[in-house]
Amino acid sequence: MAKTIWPKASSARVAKSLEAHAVIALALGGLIYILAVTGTLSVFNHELQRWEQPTAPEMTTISPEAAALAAQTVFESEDTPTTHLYINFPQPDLPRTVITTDTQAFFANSDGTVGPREHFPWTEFLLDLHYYLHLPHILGLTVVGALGAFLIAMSISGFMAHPRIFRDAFTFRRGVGRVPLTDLHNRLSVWTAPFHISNALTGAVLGLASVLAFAIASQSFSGDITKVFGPVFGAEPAPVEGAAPLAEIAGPIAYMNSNYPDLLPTYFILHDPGTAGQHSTIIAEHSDRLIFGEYYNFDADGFYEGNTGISDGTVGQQIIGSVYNVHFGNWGGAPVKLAYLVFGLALSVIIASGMRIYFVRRREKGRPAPRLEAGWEAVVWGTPAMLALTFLSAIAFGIEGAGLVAMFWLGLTLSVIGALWSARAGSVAFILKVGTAAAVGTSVAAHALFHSAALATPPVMPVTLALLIVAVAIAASNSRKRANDHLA
Amino acid sequence: MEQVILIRGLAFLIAACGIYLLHAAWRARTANSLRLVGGWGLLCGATILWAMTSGADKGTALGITVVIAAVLVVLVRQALSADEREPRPLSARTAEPETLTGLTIVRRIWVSLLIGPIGGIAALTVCVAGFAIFKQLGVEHTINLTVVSLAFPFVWAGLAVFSGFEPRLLRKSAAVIGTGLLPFTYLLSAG
Repeated sequence: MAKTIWPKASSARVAKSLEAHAVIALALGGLIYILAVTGTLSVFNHELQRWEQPTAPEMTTISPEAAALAAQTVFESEDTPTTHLYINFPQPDLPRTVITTDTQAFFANSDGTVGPREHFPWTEFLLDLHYYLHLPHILGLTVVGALGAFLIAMSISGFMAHPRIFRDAFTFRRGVGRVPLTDLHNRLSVWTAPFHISNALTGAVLGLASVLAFAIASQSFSGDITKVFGPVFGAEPAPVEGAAPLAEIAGPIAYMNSNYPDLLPTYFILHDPGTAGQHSTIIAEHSDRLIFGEYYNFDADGFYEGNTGISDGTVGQQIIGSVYNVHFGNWGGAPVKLAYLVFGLALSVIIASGMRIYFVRRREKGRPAPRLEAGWEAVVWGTPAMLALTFLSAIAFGIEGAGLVAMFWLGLTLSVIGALWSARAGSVAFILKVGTAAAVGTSVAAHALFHSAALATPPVMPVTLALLIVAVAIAASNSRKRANDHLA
Repeated sequence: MEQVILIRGLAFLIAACGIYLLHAAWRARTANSLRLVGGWGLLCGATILWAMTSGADKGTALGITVVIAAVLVVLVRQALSADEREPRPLSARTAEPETLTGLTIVRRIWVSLLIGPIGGIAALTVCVAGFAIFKQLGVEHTINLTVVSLAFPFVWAGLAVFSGFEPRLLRKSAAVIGTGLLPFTYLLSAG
């Protein structure tokens, strides 16, 4: 017989690795699953923003003068002076100009007049859920970052527990039961590993940055946190007291357009506007790089002072500058976003199937846990169901902010409690899937009713179609599952 | 632009050949080192070609994304063409229900603490001490910060895996706490 080159592993190591894998998954699988689902949706936050507010003024570009006029108008309307004044320039996936201060945000029309207030409560709710799990910001970021570290731990223990990783590289058996579930879990885990490990790592880096910077600053820089991030993103000069006429805004934008025509300016930031120390920065995207952009700095008179170095500075600056885009998948247009959608769904399936394998194994060993199994199904299908319910509430009934947060967490908790009580995983999944499909379908209908004039416009049509496909797919998967259950 | 499309087309073709070779190696099961090396080599080659069509960072990321997407297509095809398996009959036996003693509960809480906050603090201490040591050695600030930022989640993940992997409570406790105490002692002595 020919000799195999597949590596062998000790069964003790495999068992202990599986134990580690299961311990972390049992403790934190639910929260990691919520992050995976919300992260997948967050990739499309620009598209969702446009859909939520379809009548906002759109443009592919805005002239420097018009942008400056709109920014000045919003600045002058502020009761309390803002510490930063932002202009978000039109992007291919979000062709809108937004003027933002510390407290409010307005759209700008292409002639420089100020348009309606920016308002996308559900997308905001979604992003807050993914970034912070709706906890206070630093705490939330840290918890989410820690979950990123635990996802890495699950990947490491999963690989350690997989002795036939190469031998089974393409093994994929269909059907029901543990073997097909295990194949699904393992194949997706192995082949999408570059995605989910890089995503967990970048998420952890982003989430744990505050805690790490605070600790490093305390130890090495006498508590001065600006000395930790300053060399990477550029240090912000100390504010200078005293009023001054608003700094030049159109000049820096025009400078970028004429001197860097290949770059795509995304933000204009005026620091300490209306004070003696004001100065501005333009963040511009480099289309052939993973970095989120480069900072181009200007003084109050609009004279260019140089770039910070995210694009051409130290290796450290360039790596840290790439973390955000690698995590959120906004570095390659629609094709990369769609790839992130597929990979994000794969990650959600990996997490959901991993726990299901655990419950099937328990059944096979004669130690079934029907209540816990039903509880897990409530997390798996309750998460999209509650997202869909909050979506419907925001679109149809105008509920926003704390109302959506309470609805999501309370709804999910009640779903899990109900599932634990019923101990019927199949029924729980069925009901929650029906709920998800119905809520998404009704949201689309309500949106069409409220924005009938915008139904065929670019901000609305693709998202509406995608949502309908999601609703139909979930409903169809339910009827197929029901048919299988019936046959069984 | 045309050149970019050409290179990307070639890269896609090479990636497809690489996946085919890996699939062939999987089918053969034995004596397949040539196919394995060839398959992985072609996937690396395809990624390098992608890197040439954009910045080195973005091009590489694009190449990896395309390879994953292509493999997923193969897996879907594999899954659809596979025979449906009958589920394994469930065991008729009923195992003794697990009895949770007070000691077991305390043990589980302690392991959770080792995986979570204690492991996190230990990892943080390792990274802060690492930053301080690299700073003393004159390592450039942004590189130093990048290394510890990337290391922090990995160290925490490693400690979490060890806490779940190691069956002896004393040993895993000593390892996790010791991992934090050692750099903490250094930080204290360094002031």
